[in-house]
Amino acid sequence: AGASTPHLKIGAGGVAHLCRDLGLDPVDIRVLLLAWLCRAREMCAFTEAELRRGCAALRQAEAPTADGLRAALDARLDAMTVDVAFKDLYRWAFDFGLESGQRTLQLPMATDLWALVFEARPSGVPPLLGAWLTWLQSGASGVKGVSRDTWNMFLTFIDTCGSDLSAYDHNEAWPSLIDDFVEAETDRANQNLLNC
Amino acid sequence: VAARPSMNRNAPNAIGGGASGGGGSGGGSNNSYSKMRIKAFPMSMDERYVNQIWDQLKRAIQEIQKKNNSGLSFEELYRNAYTLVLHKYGEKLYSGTRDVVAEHMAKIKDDVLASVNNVFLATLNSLWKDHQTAMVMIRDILMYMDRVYVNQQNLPSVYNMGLTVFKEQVVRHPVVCEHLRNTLLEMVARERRGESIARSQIKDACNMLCQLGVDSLQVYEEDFEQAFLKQSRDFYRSESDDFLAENCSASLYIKKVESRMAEEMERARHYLDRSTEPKIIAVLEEELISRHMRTIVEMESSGLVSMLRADKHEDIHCMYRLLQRVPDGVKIMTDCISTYLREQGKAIVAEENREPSAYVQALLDLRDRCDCLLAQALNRDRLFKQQISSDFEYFVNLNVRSPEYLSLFIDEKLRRGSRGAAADNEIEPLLDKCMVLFRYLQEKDVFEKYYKQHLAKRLILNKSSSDDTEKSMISKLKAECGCQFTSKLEGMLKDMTVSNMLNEEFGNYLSQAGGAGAQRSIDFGLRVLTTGFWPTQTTQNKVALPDEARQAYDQFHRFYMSKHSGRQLTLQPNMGTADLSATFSGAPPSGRGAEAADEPSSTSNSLAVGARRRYILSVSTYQMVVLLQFNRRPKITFEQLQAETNIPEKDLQRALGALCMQKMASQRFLNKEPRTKEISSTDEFTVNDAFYSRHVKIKVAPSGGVKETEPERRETRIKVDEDRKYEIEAAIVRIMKARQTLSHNYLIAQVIEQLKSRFTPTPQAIKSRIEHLMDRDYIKRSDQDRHYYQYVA
Repeated sequence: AGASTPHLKIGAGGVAHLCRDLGLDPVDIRVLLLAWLCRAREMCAFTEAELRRGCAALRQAEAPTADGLRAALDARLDAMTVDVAFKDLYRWAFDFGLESGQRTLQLPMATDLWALVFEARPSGVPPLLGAWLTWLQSGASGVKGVSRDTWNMFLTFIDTCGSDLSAYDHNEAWPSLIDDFVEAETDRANQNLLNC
Repeated sequence: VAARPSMNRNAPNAIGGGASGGGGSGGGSNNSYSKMRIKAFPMSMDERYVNQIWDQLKRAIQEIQKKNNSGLSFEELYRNAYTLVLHKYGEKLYSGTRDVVAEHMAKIKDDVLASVNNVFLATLNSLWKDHQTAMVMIRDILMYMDRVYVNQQNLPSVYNMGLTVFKEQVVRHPVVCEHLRNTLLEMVARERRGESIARSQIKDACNMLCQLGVDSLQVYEEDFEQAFLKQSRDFYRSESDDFLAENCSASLYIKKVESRMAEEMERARHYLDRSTEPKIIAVLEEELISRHMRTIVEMESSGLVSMLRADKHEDIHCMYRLLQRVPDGVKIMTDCISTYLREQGKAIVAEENREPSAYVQALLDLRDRCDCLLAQALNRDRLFKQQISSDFEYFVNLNVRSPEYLSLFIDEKLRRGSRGAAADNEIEPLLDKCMVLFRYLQEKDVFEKYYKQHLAKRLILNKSSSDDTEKSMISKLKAECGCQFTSKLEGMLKDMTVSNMLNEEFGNYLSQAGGAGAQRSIDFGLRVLTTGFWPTQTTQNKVALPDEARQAYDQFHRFYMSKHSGRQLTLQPNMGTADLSATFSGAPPSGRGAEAADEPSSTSNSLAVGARRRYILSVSTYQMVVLLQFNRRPKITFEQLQAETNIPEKDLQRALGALCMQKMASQRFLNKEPRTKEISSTDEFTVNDAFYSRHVKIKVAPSGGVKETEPERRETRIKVDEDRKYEIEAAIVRIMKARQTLSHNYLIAQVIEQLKSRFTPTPQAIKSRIEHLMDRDYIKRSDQDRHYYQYVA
């Protein structure tokens, strides 16, 4: 219904309405997917142009309906088999999460987005993600925000060392936040070994 | 074949053939006087004739061998040999000679064997000599054969053949061989035990063996040298073991080794073959030195460490000379010295509560000891030099306060009137030694910070003993670190000079200006500091100066602005001093405080007789402000002081502390109620009328030269870390701008390289700065390769 009204922009209320129509939880991955396909600039808001773009991407440009959109989104999620596309979604998510004028993503927003976006990953949610988020939320990292470079590099990190932390080399050009995480993780694993 | 023109048949003097009938002059029946015909020499000699000649020669040889050569005609024998060879009987001659020689050898051998139990060596040597002489003569006779036949047939020359026969028959005879060897070895062993022996006999025997090898020393080596070396090895192995078991003294052992080595060298030169010298020395080096070097270096109470402790340079030098000969010998010494040195150095730097000057002096003394050691005992060997330098670098940096202490030490030396100030002629070499220590510092930027602070205090409080010495020190630092290090220091010095000039000019300005505002209310001088040069100050507040001071400053301000209109002057109340005339009444505090007179004309310093006492107090600016408060009110609390003066709390506490914390009542200028150790905001202050001093002028302001308290040190360290962040970032940007694209590891390496003369950044610190710069878009990660960075223009 929101898509058919000629408002220039729909705000948070409108987005909530849209989600209801689509039968989706606002924090569902498919909503994020929709925002991405729309190349939405802001969270909780869509401009008309953005919505049009999204519908076109979902091949629902002609007479879009809620059900049609929903089906298309489901299909699109399933079709996310290519890492390249996921990478695009992932990187875009950083900008999406930024508050206006900010260059660094606030930590709570970063953790939320991380928890969400990996659901679209072709090879599934990485096992390390849980540990990563726990560590970040514990405050042990000491940082309040995440830089773009760190955000981008995290994906590379998951792809290269996600399954085997022993392959990690802190002398390489990894962001220092990830250095600290790996150190904490290996310490924790060693502790567990000692305690067994 | 010699072809001679046959000039005359049957000429009696024709060579070869000669008077005997044999090879007469056959052909040539057609000769006439006019024609010269070349005829081949008669080629055949009959058998009988040949044998005759040969027998003659044989007998001659035998006579020679019997040393009966005086009756022989060399010329005739030579001629005979010549004839034989000419007529192609060289083979007969040669083998015949060999047989004769061999026959004779058998006889010699018997003689030698007979002498085995009795003057064996002498006999052998004399028989050998005889043989040599005989062979020489035989060779001379047979020289033509040597030259022609022997060469053609590639046979050994006559003389060499004689050697070989002698060798095979006599010397290599099993009994002779063994007996010879044993005799020689026995003699050497006896000499080593201290007996004297017939050296010439050994010499002759060795000579013989050498010659018997013909063109090589093989006979000598096989028959004697190898056994000699083995015996020597065994001998010295057990001698050194025994010696060390009995005597636990490294220096004694070393002396013994030296004497044995000298002895063996002399032996080799005197009566063995020269070629043996390096070999026997090698044996000694291995058995006496290599095998035991660790033991003697590490020996308790006499090894290298105890020598070092007692500065026994002579002994160390002997040890060094000795150990130099063998591989790894020097390394054992350097390792031992290194361990000792590090232990000494650690002890110096680890001691708590040591005063900075004692600390640095101890390090300098240690360095002096090392220099002495290097010069006198170690020949300034490069390996030792390097090891010592690296040891110093190790322990000097164990204590993070080393840079501060070094700066304080230098400060003391450069300050006028301090206890440790150096005499004029001593100062330069002392500063050079300080520079040696400076080079070991890994955190040179920390030193720079402290040096600046201390220099600033010296200059402002006018405590520098000599401008030239200050400049000299700065130029030393410049030579070491480049002008970036010292440009600010030089600026500070310049500011002083300029300020002096300014004060003069200000004086002139005042006296010329005349009229209103020209009169100086108080005597004062100002120093103008260029902000960028001096240590950063954090105070920019408005301290409430007393009116007189404020007026004076305003006067100067007007004057200065008239000269330099574009500049900005800010008074720094945290620096500066003031001389106050203070009067204390002798009566106990009665609410009537002292009068701190500041009338302009107050110049009399005389001690008032009786109860009222007048002093001149030399105080800091803050203290001046505080004290002058007591002209208005007799009793003031800390809080009130703070409010009235606007002095920052910490500075106020420090200023008051120097005025009221003295132990004895007569030393205090102010009294504090309650008399607790800390100053709290409700404490009350009053003038201490019971103050008394023998001196008229009393200094209250601290004159610097004190090491920082722990909190101050932490603050300085924070500043240093901040500065380092900027320096690292500047280096990163510089490098990336030049290279445009660079890998992560290479960038880190380059940054460390560029900054190593100031401090050593860790890779993590550099990484953190890289991220910071990435965030601010100075550089970015390459899209192609995540290990590379790119410069963002």
